[in-house]
Amino acid sequence: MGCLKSEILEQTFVPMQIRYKSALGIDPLADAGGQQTLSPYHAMGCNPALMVDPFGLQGQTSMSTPGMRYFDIYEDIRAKFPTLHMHLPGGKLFGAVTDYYKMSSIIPSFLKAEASIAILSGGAGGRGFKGSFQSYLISNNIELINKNRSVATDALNWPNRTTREYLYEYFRYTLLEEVVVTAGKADWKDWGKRMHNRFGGSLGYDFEGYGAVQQSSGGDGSWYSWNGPLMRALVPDKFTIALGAEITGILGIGVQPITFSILIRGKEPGIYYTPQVNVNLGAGAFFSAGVEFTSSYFTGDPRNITASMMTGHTYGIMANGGYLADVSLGASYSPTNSRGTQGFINRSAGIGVGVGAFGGAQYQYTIGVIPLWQWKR
Amino acid sequence: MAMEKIVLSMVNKNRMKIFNIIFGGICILAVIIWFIYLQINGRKQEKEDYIKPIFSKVVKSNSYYGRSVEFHLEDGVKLYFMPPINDKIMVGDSIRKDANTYVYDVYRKQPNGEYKFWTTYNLMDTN
Repeated sequence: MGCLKSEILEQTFVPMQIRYKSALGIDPLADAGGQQTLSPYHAMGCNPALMVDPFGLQGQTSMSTPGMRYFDIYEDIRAKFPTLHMHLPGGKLFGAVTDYYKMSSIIPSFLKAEASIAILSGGAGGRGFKGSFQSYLISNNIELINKNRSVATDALNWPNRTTREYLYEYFRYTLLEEVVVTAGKADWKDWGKRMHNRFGGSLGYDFEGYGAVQQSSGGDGSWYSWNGPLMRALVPDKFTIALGAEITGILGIGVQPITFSILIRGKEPGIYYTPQVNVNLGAGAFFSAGVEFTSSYFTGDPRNITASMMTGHTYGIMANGGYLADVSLGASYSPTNSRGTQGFINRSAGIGVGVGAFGGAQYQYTIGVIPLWQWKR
Repeated sequence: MAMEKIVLSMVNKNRMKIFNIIFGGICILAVIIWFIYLQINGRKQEKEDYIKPIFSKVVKSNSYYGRSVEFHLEDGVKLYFMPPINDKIMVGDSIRKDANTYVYDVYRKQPNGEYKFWTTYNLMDTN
């Protein structure tokens, strides 16, 4: 019956719906990502006006974006349940969380989406959802966790637990099909990230005070938090002080045997000994000995920075000039993967004694990393 | 003669200046172009990985200068992880990803030969 008959529309058949049938036969992803609510013969979510399906596998809205932000989840829901608005009061799809309570009475399987929206809504809406969610679980005889007296079961009776935690438990069990054994703080954070990975950034948003889930662009959801853009602009992810000397005439070398790097963010913050050597190629000639300060910004999530990322190659440009007293300026990039899309962007400035002028390219190699002092996050 | 020498010296100085500007400029431009190429090409690769569905196996891994660990899939896709890897992912794991998403599932082979769901990651995140 193609799109005419689907589980969600069994009781409320809409004769005006136009048929769209996949020429490929049964959809190989018929059970994937909410599509199980549609016939396995459907294409484009039965809604070619809204959706695209270039591979004939799973319909996507043209508005869907990687990481699924707030709005995209609504779009995703609308894409997967294209006629849903017909069943809602006033045909409203975007609205208060209470509308979604009503949705769940129409389509039980829609709970997943409803829970998403409750998480997104937060505040009073989220708190209000807690009661509805619990009632739903009880009335449908859904047991969150099948372990005796598991943390999740306890959580339902624990008034200090937040709505999000209940929902996370729900997701953990029903969507990721895994059984909860423990739920310590680290465990919650890990699950927050996994929820983000599977369902998009907004789903894990604000869990554990914005700390649990990263946004793909780096940093976390809050611009003013330690890993947010504001603090990262004020305090670099890494700071390096290098003492050394360089000599160059078109081609030259330099050594910074006394180099200390302070890893400010990441998994292993601390002070490290990171000796460096470098090769310069460019115009001019100079000799210089002095100290160079470098601040580094990691283009990925700063919480993923590790000490081992400080070793290896750095490519950049630099200019140096002076007579007796000399100054240098530089900018460089240290890729942390072979694709080069993630790495440290470094800015450096140095002062010292020297003579000459130079401008050109610089290759730098950090020989190793020796931890001197590490502190806990 | 003296005048000639002065003129020649000025000409040489000017030539040297031009050489410095051109050679120094080329070196600086080369680095900038390399950086831009890296970013454009990397984003293009990421986009391609996003679009295509993946159903493949991890066949090998290598460390990228200690900065990250790359896991290579049979179909050429690379997955990046931060050390320590522990049991995040390993050679032999099966990877499944739908089209138009960065999210992929990892399945691990059990002693009985069956693959069991292990975890979910995002291509855009370095885990």
